[in-house]
Amino acid sequence: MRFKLYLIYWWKNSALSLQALLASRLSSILFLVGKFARFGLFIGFLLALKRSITDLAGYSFDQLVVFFLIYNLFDLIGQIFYRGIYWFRYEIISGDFDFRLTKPINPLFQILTSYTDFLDIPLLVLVVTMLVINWPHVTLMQNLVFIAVSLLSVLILTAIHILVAAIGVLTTAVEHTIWMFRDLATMARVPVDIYVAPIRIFLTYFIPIGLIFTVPAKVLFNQAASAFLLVAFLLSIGFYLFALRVWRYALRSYASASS
Amino acid sequence: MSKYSQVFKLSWDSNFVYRFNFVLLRVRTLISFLAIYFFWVAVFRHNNQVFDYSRASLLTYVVVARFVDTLVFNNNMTGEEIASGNLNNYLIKPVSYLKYWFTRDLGDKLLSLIFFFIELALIMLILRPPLFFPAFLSDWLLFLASIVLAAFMYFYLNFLVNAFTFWYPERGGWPLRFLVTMLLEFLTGGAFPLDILPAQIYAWFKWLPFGYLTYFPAGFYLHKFAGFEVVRIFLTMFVWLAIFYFFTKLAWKKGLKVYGAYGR
Repeated sequence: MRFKLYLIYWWKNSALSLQALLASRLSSILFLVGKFARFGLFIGFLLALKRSITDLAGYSFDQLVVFFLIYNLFDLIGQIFYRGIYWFRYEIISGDFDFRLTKPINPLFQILTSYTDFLDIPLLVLVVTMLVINWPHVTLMQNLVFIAVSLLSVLILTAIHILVAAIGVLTTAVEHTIWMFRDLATMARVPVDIYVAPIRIFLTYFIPIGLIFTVPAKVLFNQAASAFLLVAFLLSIGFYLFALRVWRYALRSYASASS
Repeated sequence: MSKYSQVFKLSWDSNFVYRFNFVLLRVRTLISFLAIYFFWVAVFRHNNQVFDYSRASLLTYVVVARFVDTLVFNNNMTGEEIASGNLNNYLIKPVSYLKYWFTRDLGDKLLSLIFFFIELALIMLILRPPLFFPAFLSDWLLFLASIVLAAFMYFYLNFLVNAFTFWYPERGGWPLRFLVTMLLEFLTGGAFPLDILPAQIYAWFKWLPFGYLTYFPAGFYLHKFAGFEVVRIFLTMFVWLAIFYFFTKLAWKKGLKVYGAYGR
């Protein structure tokens, strides 16, 4: 019953988001072209680099393309479903967040899903199509592990957005925090293994960008050890619980100062 | 104190009002630089030479390109001011809107430059990149002169893009700015030197304005151009600057006629 309520809430919000997009068609076209340009230009850069070097830290260029596609897959999932976080600061500084708290729906769910970004869907379709075409030959077991690891990626992605929302409540800073994550995430357009050890460790265990974007692709290339996957599982759960804890602390500290 | 020096001072001060936001902005700038830097460090882990670049020359390029970006790019709010109707506040005052933003831009750039050097000092201390300096005084002069031209080019280009908001005030002009930002992210050469692209594509960049904002100024530092090529680069920059200047003036003149101060 509660699930149905949340589904209706999300559906209604998404329908409103779509209507807003359709009302400003030129904006939508410009955004779409920008998103496709960013995607295409990075692929073009990889192809240009291929003319001079045969591999990047042991990864072939075909593999790098798969890593980049999987980076885009999860990056787009985060943006399609959790775009609402980008507008959260206004709710905090204006005091409008109070209205969220009075509704019988989890405020965190309301914040994260207040806007569904349909403009990312065309690129998602392209990315999935390219992934299907470039999908490596893997066993059924590898496919299943990939699905399991992907669920963990979405869990960490959710946790990061929860942390950003919590920091927003505590400090009123949201845009820079979410963009900081996006900036860091760009490092995972290529496998994080290519970086020097301190950066690799930081991106895997502290801000788990590597777990979100690199590990699923590594599973496909049979380069993720079982022990590491177990650690990734524990880290993901731990990170999610930590984010929820910080969020609850932030809610307790919320003073509704601007309302 | 003249009115524009007051604007300069206020622009400087306003950066320190929301200190936490300012710190986060600097951290973001540093992260985006480090993402590019570590990518190239990784590329050179198993390669001594990538195209015509050694490890030292490419890492120097990345650092110098960031220095150029600090001085060339800016982020003004003119689109939002047109869309919200706040432009009225300037139209009724005895200030030139272009000069006002130019002065604010100078204040922002000076602050960014100071922080760039602080961050660079930290990077030098921790990462010890193999940087080198131009051997000839002429390279320094060409480098600095091209940065000044590039800064003017971007200033007018940015104003031109924002002027689009007069006719399409949706989201404060952000949609077109987003598209231009996406293009500039790759096409200026901030992340990689443009001459690593195939020769036919690189030839196009000699005609387009993008590379003149970062790649060509940074190229002077690396002594990549000499003789007639130097003249050609400066001539092209002047032509693009004139084009941007002309269309910016035209767009603002026509834009102000259609401006309805919506939102006020």
